[in-house]
Amino acid sequence: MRCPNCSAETSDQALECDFCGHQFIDGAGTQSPAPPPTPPSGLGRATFSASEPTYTPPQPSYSPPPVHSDNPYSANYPSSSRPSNQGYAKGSVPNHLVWAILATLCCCLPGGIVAIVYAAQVDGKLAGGDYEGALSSSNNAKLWSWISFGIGGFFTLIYFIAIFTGAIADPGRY
Amino acid sequence: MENAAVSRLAWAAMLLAGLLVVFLLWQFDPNQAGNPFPPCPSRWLTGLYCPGCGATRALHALVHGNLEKALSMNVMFVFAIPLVALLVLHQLVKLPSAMVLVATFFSDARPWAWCLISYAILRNLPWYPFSLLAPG
Repeated sequence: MRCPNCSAETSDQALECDFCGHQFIDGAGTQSPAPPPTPPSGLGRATFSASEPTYTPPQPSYSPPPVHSDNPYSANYPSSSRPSNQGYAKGSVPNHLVWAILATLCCCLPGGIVAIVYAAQVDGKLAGGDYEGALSSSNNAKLWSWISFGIGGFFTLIYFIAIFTGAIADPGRY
Repeated sequence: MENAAVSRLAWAAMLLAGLLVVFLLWQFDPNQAGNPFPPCPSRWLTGLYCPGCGATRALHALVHGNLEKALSMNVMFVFAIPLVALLVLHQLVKLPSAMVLVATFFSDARPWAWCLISYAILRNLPWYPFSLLAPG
């Protein structure tokens, strides 16, 4: 982990920077932009003279990490807790893509296509900065994957019952 | 602790399911009449090829080492197998960073949506270059 104050490399478990004493709030990456509580000299204090040395309140828990680079780790270790309208990190809202693909390729039902369209909407809305919309598309993607798996499983069950009872001899090879 | 147990259970379930599928495909031929594999429900209902049609026969060909036949059955399915496996692994375990980069690249759903939907349409067209996409 890199200290947001002095850019020194510190251990991931550190609660405060070994070099400048900057305190990290919540090791998960929501470092406070507040100044260090005990600056080593008057030089550091001067740059923060406009603000009181109090912590800004933590961001609400639903606030997603903003994108600052194409680094896939930026979702886990944002360098700032300030929200941005530039779009959100890929994967900060799950698109449930794997299940949509599996539903499309294995269950052979249009529901898988619906799920994959919703999954695509998640990534499109994240890139456009629409976090709420991405969440709703994410839920729809999950829902439609489960619907497809449910219908596919139900059909397979009916098929095996029909085969077992002799109602279908050979339905074809698809 | 609890997460590790769930993860181990998921691994065991996937391994068992995979072995069962390989065993069934080794024993039974989906190209033969009266095979135990279920047909595609949407082909059965609509008569159209879906993006997954031919997947069972492609897997059968792969299990028997016939890559050419697998590609002729469902080319996108064959290409999707390693990618989907990578995405599933990415969800279940912590991968090396090089693989995480590849998984992140392929976890954008928008190219997948374009590919699968155009594939669903194109493989139903009866003309020459597209008819290659249909199973068989």
